[in-house]
Amino acid sequence: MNDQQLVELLQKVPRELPVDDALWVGVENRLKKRGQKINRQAVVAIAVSLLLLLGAVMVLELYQRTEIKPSSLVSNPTERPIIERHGFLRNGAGMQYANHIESEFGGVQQHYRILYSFAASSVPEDLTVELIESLDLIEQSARDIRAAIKVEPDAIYLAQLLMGLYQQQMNFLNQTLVKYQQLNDDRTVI
Amino acid sequence: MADQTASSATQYVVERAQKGDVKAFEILYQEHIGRVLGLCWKLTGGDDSLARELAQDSFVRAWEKLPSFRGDSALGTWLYRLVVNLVLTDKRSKKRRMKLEQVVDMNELQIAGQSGDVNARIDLQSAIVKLPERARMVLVLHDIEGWKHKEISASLSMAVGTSKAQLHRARQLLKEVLVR
Repeated sequence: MNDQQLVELLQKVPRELPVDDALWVGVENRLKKRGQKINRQAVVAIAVSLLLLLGAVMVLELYQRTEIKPSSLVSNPTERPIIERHGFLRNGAGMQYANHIESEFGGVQQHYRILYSFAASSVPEDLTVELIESLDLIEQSARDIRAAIKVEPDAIYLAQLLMGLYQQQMNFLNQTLVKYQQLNDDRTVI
Repeated sequence: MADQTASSATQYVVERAQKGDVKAFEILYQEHIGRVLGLCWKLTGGDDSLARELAQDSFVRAWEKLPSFRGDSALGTWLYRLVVNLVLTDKRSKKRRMKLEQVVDMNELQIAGQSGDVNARIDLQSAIVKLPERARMVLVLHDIEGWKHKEISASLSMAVGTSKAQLHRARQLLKEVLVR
């Protein structure tokens, strides 16, 4: 027998084998499991990515931003007569000014609340009690002032009081954040 | 005309499967599983359970890789290459041991190769799977699957000359069995 004859014989060897249905069932099950696994992995990956992103942003902000950006209102509130500067109506000028202050400070307050929550989470609880009480006191004061403005909507001095309170609140938070940061640094070094 | 229609139908099924349609993939599976299983069986030296496992692995891998199939070659060509690579990777991982390793038992080959009856081709097949591993793989890929020595040498990480030598060895062993 020469090579050619052998190759001709080999060409006749069946290429296929008979297959039973169980083989496809096995493949199908694995595909389904794989799909579920990939879905779970995707959900976990997205969740972890979001958490990491949020954490990274917060840490970055905490370590890089230690000063509050003074708003135009805070920088020099009495530079020009408030009513003229903002174009408020005479009637209800205090209320309008208070609303303006609220919107001006709102974003910054939210920003600092997040930073504070993040920083406080790694600080012993007993060190945060006093701060929480102080913040509660400021919040209560703000509510009182807003209630007073509703009674006297023309009173610009009440709105100015509110602004001073917010400024105090943020200075307070800012100093606390710096302090917490130092505490965390010290603990990391230890 | 009929070929074109069949080709278009296959292309459509492939596209559906690429988009994640399991039913479409099952059609492709049904079309190729017999040959894939046969190839796995020969390459693994006639190990039924390992061949079935690798055939399943092959289709799971094909499902994963299918989106990257561009249609440059026929689906079968692409799939059988994938199967061969998977079998080789499995061997290299050494997590599994193939049966019927290097020692050639000529008596076994002879019994398997005695082929004067209607089961001749089946007996020849049995003789093939009892060949030494590398010789068997080269013979299967070259003489049955139609691969070139260059392709075999690349896949099996051997020189082209070695591939030719292994083919010669495999043929000699088979001829010895068949002429007895």
